Amino acid sequence: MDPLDAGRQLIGHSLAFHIIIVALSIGLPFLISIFEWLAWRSNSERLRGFVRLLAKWAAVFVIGGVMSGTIIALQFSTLWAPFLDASRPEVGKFFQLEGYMFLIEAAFLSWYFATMKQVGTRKHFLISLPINIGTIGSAFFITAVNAWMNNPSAQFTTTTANEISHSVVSYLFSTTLIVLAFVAWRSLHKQSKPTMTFINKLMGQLSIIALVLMGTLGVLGHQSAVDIGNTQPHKLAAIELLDKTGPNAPMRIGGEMTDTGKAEGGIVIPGLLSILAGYSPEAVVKGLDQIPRDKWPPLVVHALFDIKMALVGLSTALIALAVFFYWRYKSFPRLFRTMLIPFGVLGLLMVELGWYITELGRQSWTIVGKQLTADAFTVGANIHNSIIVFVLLFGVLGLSTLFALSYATKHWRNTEKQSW
Amino acid sequence: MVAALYALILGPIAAYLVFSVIEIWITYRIAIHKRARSLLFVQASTEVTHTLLVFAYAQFMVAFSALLVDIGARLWWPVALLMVTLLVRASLYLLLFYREKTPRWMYGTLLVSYLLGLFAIVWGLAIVVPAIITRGFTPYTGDMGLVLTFGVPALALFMVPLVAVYKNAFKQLRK
Repeated sequence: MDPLDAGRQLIGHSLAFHIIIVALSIGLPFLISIFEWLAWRSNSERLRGFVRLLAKWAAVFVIGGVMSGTIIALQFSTLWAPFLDASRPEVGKFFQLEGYMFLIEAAFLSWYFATMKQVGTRKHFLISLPINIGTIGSAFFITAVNAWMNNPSAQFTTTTANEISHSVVSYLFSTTLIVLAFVAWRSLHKQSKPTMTFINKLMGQLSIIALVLMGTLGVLGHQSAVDIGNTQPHKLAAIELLDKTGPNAPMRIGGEMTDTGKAEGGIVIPGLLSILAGYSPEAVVKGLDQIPRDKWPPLVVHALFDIKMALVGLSTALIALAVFFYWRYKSFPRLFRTMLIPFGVLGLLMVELGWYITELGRQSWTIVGKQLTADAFTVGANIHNSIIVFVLLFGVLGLSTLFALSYATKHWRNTEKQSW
Repeated sequence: MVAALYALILGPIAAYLVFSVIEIWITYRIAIHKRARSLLFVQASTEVTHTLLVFAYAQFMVAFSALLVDIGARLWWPVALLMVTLLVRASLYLLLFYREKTPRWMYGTLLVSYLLGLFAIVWGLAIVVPAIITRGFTPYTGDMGLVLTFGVPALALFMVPLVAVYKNAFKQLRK
């Protein structure tokens, strides 16, 4: 395998693994704080028990997150040293600040665990808050690096604000969906009436949180798309498979690009892309015809974007239905709860797709307009076939994480008085 | 500033090596004592110890980025070995975390991963240190204001759980 391709695959696999752990490591402390607050306000011991389960899960994800994060830093500094050196004057400090935020997260997470049953709910809620500063702070700085790679005109740009807010909220949403799926799964087991009342309320609360996050994501996603159109027109053109520059740019769902550079097929909605990107059918949107063919991003991003949008539609419908059931009946039909279980992974799938679209859509650049991916790779580096070893080990780590989550949940059920 | 930078890189690495030796000793004690293996012994100590390495490496990779362009390719193999040991260790810790009875081989493998990890760090230092000396390389210290303002307090804050976790580990080991 070509050394550059092997290096790209390795960092790609590592990041694809890491981003799932990151999403859950950010989302779980957020939910912990919300439910700590609710438990404090309602004085509910059951809810405190639920928070303890979330905390056990968070502890599991910290292990995988720390290790996979370190592995990415190690790869950057050896295989991608020219990138690190080129980015250092502008965003080197963000790498360091991310590390400091991680220290804050680890310190307060330890304090949070140490005081689990030793302080009141109010104090425990307050201790949980700085964990969020650490997790969201880490995400802030590392996403700021990525935003700078996409738009290196300044350290902080509109791209920074859009990318950070969109990413963080999608991590919170995907975690909420996973937790909702877990609660739905437990609800299918034989439970007492008071427990079912508690579970229904919990599902209702999670559905409302998910709906608020989904609505926020809709606004942020649109802002991101407008920003991409302004700052990375080549990426928007590839994502939307837009072949020609001009007003009345169409939105195309499906379709393909012919060898002559003409987009064909799929469902075409005339003018919609101009309206979405420039708030008017007359708004000019830059197409792929303005970009040299060798600088086109891989057009697979168009298919990935279509899949992502389908998942967005599906999860919005599902969450809206969940909120409706809770508002109208204060309970959920068994079939609907069964359906929620497989859909729990939708959020994480969307996070993965979003990350692939961002990274592939930036190619062939690592830092847009400044450093090509081929130039970002360390001269003489060759990982040979070691990629196989790492893919296997990431697989083992993923399975170990699932086993640990299963042990943690079993341990929780055996040790909690009011487990379900 | 250069001296302060070196202190903030080498200090946490030295502390990491010392805590790793303690970790190896604890793991060895668990591996040879059957009763210890049934005490849900696994602590968060590996994570807090590891954080010291993360802190040191974050300073190193930014301050020495220009040097890494030259030696990155040579540094890959010790780094790859370190990565393997980190992945193995993380997987084992996850498998050990909430299990009430744990087989001895897991602690044995953990021990091997620790030793290989330390070997990889020494191997890496054996490449980096001569490269710095022979080239008379001066690291970038432009971010030291940031490091001293935010990094040092964050590290100091982090010492509290680190000490607490190790105190707890020793307490359980004495049982």
